[in-house]
Amino acid sequence: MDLDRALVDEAKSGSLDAFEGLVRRYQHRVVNYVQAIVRDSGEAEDVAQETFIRAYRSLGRFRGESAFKTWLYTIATNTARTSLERRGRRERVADQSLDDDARALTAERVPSHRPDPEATLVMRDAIDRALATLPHELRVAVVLRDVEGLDYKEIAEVTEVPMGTVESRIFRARRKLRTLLHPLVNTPVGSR
Amino acid sequence: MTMPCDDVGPLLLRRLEGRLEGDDRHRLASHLEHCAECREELQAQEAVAATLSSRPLAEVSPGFASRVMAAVEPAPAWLDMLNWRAWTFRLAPVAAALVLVASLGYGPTEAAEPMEFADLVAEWVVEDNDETSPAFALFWEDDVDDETLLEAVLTANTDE
Repeated sequence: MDLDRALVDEAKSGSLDAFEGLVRRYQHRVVNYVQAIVRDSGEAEDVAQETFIRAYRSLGRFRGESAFKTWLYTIATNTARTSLERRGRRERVADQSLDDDARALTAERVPSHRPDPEATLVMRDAIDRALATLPHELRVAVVLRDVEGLDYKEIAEVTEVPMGTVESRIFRARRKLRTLLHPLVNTPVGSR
Repeated sequence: MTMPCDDVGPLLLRRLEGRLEGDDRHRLASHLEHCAECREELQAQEAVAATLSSRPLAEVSPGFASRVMAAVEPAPAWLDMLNWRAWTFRLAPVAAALVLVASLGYGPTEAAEPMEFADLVAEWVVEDNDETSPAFALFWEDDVDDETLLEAVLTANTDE
């Protein structure tokens, strides 16, 4: 039995320590994922916290047919979507220019082996701004694949759509991002 | 006849994932050999994926897990004392019961006839003289010691 399953079983039996174990195992993943979706770091922690609270309250209904990880990503996706709809953030973010951040990153590019907190922040924000311009379904799919590293089958489970739809969404998302991330990607932008 | 560009997308993805096999691999290779746009698309898809994969991880603020646990753990019972709304709702049935009892007891009752003090004393005397219980009659006798009186009371037959 894997550790997740053992912790889930104990948590379902009422062990708060076991649930805290799950929170500590997944807090970085969930916060990172949610921030890539909602972009704002403060909002990301609120959404991540709400995700874990919802997970705790729904634990009795988790039957283990999917992995705990994908189940948690599903809750995080729905919670983030609710938060975005409530605040209408996407439309405002889409109006903001990516050029400033991209130029700043290009001008102050630092070698990857020498971490610079400011450059790290600028790069992450530039990527998140680009992601924020995507329709929600495309953003979720490409973030789950390229940022979180889930495979296509797992993404299909999280988003509850067929594999073919997942492939299509990721393909279209990357195509849209190609232009927006051009200063970071350093590849020619074609006419398509 | 090479496949149309619109059908190439899924094959490009699978090639990037290393999941392209058999005929599909040959079909894609044949297409890419003659299509510069799809070769460029393959390169761009790979570059965007690599850029997103290099996105620096978001930091989690200290105490995040503790805050989550504080939110899911049941609150200590004494905190309920501070919640006046809970108090109000919990005391509502008690208040309702008190009002009901008060309203039942507030109805018209038969007024007792006023009794003179002399009549009251006379009633006591009649009751005393009734002497239904010999044991209690010993109270009025002067030469009965305490032990005898106690024994008589404890062994008295109340049915008499």
